[in-house]
Amino acid sequence: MNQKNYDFDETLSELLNASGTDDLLQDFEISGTTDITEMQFSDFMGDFLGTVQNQIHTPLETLGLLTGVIILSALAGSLRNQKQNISQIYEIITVLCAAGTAVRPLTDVFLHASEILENSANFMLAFSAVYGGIMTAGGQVTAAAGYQSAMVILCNIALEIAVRLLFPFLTMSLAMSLIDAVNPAVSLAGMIKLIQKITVWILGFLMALFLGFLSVKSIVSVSADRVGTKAIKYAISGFVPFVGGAVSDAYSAVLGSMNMLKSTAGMIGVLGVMALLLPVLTELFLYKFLIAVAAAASELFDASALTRLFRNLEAVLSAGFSVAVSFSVMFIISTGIMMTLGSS
Amino acid sequence: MDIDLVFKIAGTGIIVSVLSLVLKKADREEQAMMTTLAGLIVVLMLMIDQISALFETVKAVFGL
Amino acid sequence: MHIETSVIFCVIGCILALLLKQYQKVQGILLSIGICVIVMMTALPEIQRIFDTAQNIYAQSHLDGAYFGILCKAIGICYLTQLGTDICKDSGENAIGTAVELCGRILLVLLSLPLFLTLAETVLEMMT
Repeated sequence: MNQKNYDFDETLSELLNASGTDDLLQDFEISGTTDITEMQFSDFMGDFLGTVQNQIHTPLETLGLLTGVIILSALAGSLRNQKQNISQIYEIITVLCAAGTAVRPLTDVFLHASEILENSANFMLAFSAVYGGIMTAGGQVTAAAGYQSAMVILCNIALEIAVRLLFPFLTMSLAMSLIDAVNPAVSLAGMIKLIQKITVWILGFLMALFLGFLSVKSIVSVSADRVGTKAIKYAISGFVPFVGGAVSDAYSAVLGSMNMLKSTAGMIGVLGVMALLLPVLTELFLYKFLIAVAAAASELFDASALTRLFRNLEAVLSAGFSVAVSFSVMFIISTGIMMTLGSS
Repeated sequence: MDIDLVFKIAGTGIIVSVLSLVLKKADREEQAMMTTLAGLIVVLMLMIDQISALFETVKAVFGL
Repeated sequence: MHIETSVIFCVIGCILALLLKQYQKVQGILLSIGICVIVMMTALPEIQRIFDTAQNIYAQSHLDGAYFGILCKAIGICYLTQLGTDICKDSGENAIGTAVELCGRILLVLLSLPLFLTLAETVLEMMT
């Protein structure tokens, strides 16, 4: 036992190398897998704040430009008294300016989000293969099979959504929010909110279904695996002459080290997914926050068209953010379930 | 705030209206009309500087 | 510029213009035009200050700065057109006022056409 603890890091890196987790992480350019057990929360927060600082420039610039547009739109406030006024065209011009400023960064963010979703789905597919192998080696054959099949389904769904649905849907909502801001007679804002609500509901429902299914399946398979392991140990100690007991104990030791590898590899996988998805989540959240600030400012200056535009953009960003968050949660929790269950 | 200009214009207007009333009562319609026109030209001459200054400033501020 | 001076000035001007309109409508209208011109002259430097502030904000970012010029011109066109329309309507010439407003609207649309085209180009570029 003492020897095992002494060689922990070396054994760990050997096992990681042999199982291919290291190569996997390198393929996806996630580095820093050493000293995970000694990682502090303060380091993590420090990294996170560093990412935020890097990413906050473009959103802040966009916010600055939008503030300028809002101030200039407030100048026409005095002309806004009568209907059918020349200030209507001026309002449309301000909406066009704000839209022109905001469209490029927002479409960049959406493109980035669907790319990262695709990348993380690929990563999870590869990782689940590796992790399933580790679990099988650790004696949890049925659980591994369940986990892998569930992950394959989830990742394929995620890929489909990312490639086919997410980006076109988000840019379409962007265009709709523009039209709605320009002409209030055609009220598309309600439709955008409806789409956002439906997205959130469907995602929540899917998440509950998926995680419920996974937990039930793994609880059942873990018991089956435990029975299988005990049967194997009994068979070894029974059928191998003279050294049967020692061999069966060695088998338990191997299983134990496999457990250690399993939890570490699981943690690495979770960290890898988080490292992939966290920048995108931060970006989406920053943009949402800053556009909410712009909406509050334009409401303050009574620029109704601009307020409509910003509130709709906020709704679209919320929808994107909730999609990204729910997928990352599904990835992380499913791996977490596998990590915690069945450490016999 | 150029209050003098306003009083000049108002003064011209009042003089013109009084003169034109008096001339109308005295049965000199043409002279009344000429007084009105003269008053109009005088006021325009008073304001022309201000109007051109306004348009120059507008062009400068708004970049038109 | 203080708000009290502007308000008192305009109110006195209104009363004088009303007085003149009873006898010589032409003089009344001229007086109201004069009042408008003088008050606008005092307000314009303040607008310049607002524009300068907005220009600083725009200058600090790296994104496109063409929007600012378009917005400034647009608001100038709006103000002048509104002023002209209201003066015409005050004189009772609604038709001329509408004609002025039409000119203003056409100019605004012309001004915003490049903006609209740029936006449409950006969106199409994103789609493909």
